[in-house]
Amino acid sequence: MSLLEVRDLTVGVERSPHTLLREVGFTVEPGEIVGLVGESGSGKTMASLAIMGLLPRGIELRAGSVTLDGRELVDPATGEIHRTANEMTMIFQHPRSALNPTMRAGRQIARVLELNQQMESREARDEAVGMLSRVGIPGAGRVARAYPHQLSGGMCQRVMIAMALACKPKVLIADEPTTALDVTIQAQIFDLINELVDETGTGVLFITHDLGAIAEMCDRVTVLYGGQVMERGTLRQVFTDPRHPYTTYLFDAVEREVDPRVEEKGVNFALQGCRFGHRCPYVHEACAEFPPLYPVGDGHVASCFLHGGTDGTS
Amino acid sequence: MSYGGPVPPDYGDPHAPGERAEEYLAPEIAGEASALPLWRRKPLLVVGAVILGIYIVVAVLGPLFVGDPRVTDPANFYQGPSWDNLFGTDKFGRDVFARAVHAARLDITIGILIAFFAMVIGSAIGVVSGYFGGWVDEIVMRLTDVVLAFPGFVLALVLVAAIGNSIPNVVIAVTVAYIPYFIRLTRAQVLAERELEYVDGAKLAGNGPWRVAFRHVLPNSLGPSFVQAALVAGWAILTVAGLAFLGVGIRPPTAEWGVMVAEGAPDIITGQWWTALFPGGMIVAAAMAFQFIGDDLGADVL
Repeated sequence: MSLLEVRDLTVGVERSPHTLLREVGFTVEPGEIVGLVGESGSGKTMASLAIMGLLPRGIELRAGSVTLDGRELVDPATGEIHRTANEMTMIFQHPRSALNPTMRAGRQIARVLELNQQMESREARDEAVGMLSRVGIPGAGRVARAYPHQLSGGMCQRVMIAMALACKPKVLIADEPTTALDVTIQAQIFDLINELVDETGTGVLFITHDLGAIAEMCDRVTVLYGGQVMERGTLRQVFTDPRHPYTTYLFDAVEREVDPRVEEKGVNFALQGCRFGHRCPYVHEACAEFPPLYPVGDGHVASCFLHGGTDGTS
Repeated sequence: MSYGGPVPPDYGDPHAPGERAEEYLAPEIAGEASALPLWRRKPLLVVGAVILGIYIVVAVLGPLFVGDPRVTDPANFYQGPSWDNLFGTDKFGRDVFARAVHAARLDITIGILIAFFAMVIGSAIGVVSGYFGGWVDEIVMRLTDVVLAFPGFVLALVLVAAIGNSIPNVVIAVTVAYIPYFIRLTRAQVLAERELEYVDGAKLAGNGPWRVAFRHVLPNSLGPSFVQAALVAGWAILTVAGLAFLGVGIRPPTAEWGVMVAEGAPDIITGQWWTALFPGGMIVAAAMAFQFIGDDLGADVL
């Protein structure tokens, strides 16, 4: 049993045939960092919002299950997701806009503790300062009294991480935690996340478009395109032996040596078949159907009919 | 080993804990902008604030130093401005200056109270309407449409006629007329604000929807409402004085600017210009002060 298991997550636009996520699934184990990688519009953020139960208006959860420690979080009647900050929480892409501009940093962390750990306000305030020091903020007392606009972006992200980890959640979703930060701060934040994972055994879903960050941070990887899981496996499997045409294309794009047969087109969310079908150089009749995940190695799967009919090892 | 160049200053150990927190605090952006003094950047704001400041001092302390505004002195009616009676006396021999000073206390208080109540009630309704949406929003919006279809002055006039013209009723009527402005303004801000990430963050932290709406979204949506409140305070003074002038608002013999202008207006024809001109001028100056403050603040916030 995995710590976090997402199965067949399907998300669509209300009253529309468009599906933004189609049968997305992956697992996160304790103390493990699992990458979710894909280009802009691939559904990475949508997936994290769906798991957290924060889907925007007009977007609905059509199917799927999210289990935490074997407990189902999706309410079968309403399709809503029940989670608490004690179990699962999230850090956002834009650290500054993820903090309430009119509330002091320490107060925001203390508030999480009051709501979820039944702490008194004084106790929560001290604990908040403690959390700030733990995420490597010198002069934590002073930062706790600062408003977000008085803090730098990297500092805001640390505050955000302190807030997310205040309740010692089992799962942390990090949605592009360093995209808005420069590289030196990025390295610090990565170190911090790694440290905290080693220390607390928190499972992390690490969402990014940055393959370098994935290579540096993650144990296993899920590749997403157009809301479809393209390929899933360990870091080594996916990076050294990509089996889906899209994954190959993605790595080639980093080298700027892409297959010229891959057409430059946007994602088509109304496609019934493979979401990469309208661009794929290997497209054939079968691709009009939605491809299942075919095993291509030990724990390595690819959503492509090219691997259908094989014995799963080639 | 030195290469003979300039020696870099010793910044100390950058990793020493607890000492260099200042470096993590972003430089004050406001500090850059304040290269010019405030009166150069925002002259209207300063002028408005100075005028308002004078009014507030007069409203608070003035009545302690002038005579009773209701004492008549039939022997001294229609005296022109003099050292004894700075603004002259009216047809009953009452001191226009004393009345104008007492009226300042009443009118400035009423103006600010109306702006305050309209903002508090309007923002509260606006945040519910904007944050929760749905049929509540639909009903609130149609109601504001109805209220805004009337000119505020006419609506206040009708309300006062309906509920009676005591001072509290005038405040209620004018407040109701201005509430829709704050509802609309706050709702529009909330619609933008509720999509931001910190709102999701507040939900994740376990805050209930009402708490998210009032403690997180509302404080961040109030900026424009403060500007609107400054403007509304000025308009409210005009409206209250206007109602009194028409005889439907605050009644004589209360010392109120609109009442004084109404009583003094016929005197102008007979040559006693001071009974209406001084209170009229005080209305104009008070309304302008609020308008100046609102305009200059609005340039930054809106």
